[in-house]
Amino acid sequence: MQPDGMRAVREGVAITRADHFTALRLSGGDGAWETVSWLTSGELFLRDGQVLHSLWLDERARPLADVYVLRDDESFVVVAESRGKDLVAHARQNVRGGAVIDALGETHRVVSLNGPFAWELLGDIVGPDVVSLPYMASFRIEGGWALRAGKTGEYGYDLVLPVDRADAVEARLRERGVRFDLEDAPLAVLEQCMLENWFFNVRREGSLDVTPRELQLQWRTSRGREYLGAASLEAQRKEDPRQRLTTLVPSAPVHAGDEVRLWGEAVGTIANAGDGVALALVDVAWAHPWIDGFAVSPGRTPARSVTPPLANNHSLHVNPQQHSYATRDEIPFPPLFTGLAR
Amino acid sequence: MREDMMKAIARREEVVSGVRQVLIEGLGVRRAPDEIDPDAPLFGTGLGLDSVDAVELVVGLEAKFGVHFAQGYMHRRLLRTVGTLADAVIAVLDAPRGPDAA
Repeated sequence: MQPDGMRAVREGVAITRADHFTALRLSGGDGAWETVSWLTSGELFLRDGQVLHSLWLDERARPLADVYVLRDDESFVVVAESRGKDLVAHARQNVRGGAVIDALGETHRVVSLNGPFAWELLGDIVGPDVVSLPYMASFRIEGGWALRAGKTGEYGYDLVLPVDRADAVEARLRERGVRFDLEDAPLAVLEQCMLENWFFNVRREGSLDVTPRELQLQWRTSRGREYLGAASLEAQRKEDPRQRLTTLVPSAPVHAGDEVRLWGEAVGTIANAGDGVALALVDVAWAHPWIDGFAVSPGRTPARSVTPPLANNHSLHVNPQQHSYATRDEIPFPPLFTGLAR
Repeated sequence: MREDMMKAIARREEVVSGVRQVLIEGLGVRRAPDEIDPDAPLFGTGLGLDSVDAVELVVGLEAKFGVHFAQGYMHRRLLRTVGTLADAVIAVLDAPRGPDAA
């Protein structure tokens, strides 16, 4: 049986009060720009309306936060998930050029919509233009910002709303959401979808003593710029990585910290585990998909490595120009999970 | 069994290496091969490919591996990462009766 909210994320629309995000605003001209430059991405040029998906690292190149940043006139808005570190304090410790940092936690609240028809519900509130909003783009909404982002593999929107307007917006979404069978999706449901769709979870696999190399996040790092952790990352690149994050499908529940064995030898550790899927840090020699014969202890649970993402998300088959939730039964969705023992 | 698995891994690494080569030389991805992780997303925020690149990518893979992907075979699910592309190439190479069997 699916947990509450899972059906909505996979087939309709789900709403989440996203308290797991930390939001802050950087302003102060060049200082704000210089401060943003401790993000790891190579391409830091941001137009109004564009969203950058990046990382904050510590000095040893371990992830502190999974970060969206958007430009708002002369300031930058950062919306981040962290592994527990006080990001506002961290930002203030590393501020450059006299930039001003406003913590938005007291003044703003994040509400998230996820699901193959999330675009349609949001469009009911803000107008049909939302349909054409590309992934990693943003627009102003009710004195805050809406980001088309999401980490569930489905259409996703994170609304950073002033607290004095958030309740009204949420009420409208819930009212209009009735015809979408809107459900609340807790963080645990979103995290299961992240696992199935190979979205980095900084609170789980990101909390280990690992860097973007083991996490397969090198695409989010630059080799041509200086940022916190860059020197450490560059030094590590002189040697081959020892382990790499690998997706496993176990035949029974496994847990973070469990040992992964192959042909009797210890080859890794479970880094994150969910329903029917797990991520393991596996020695690079065996960090490949389609290996049968892994065993996860205790219990020697059989597991097979696979190629992520696991889900054939409904959003891949929904065309906002043609489809709607009301006529969803006419869309020939393939099975959500193909070729896996689920 | 272990020997068969080692051979399968070696073959897959060869295919993954070829996919990386197509991305770098054919599509201008400005990364060293070992910086292109097998499960890094290709489109959007990942390696930055767009819908025009998708066509070139398929053509480049066909040329590189001497395969032909049947119409509609390279659907969006297979165009997500280096790893999903490698799966697609290997499936076509192993198809007993050509690409339509994949």
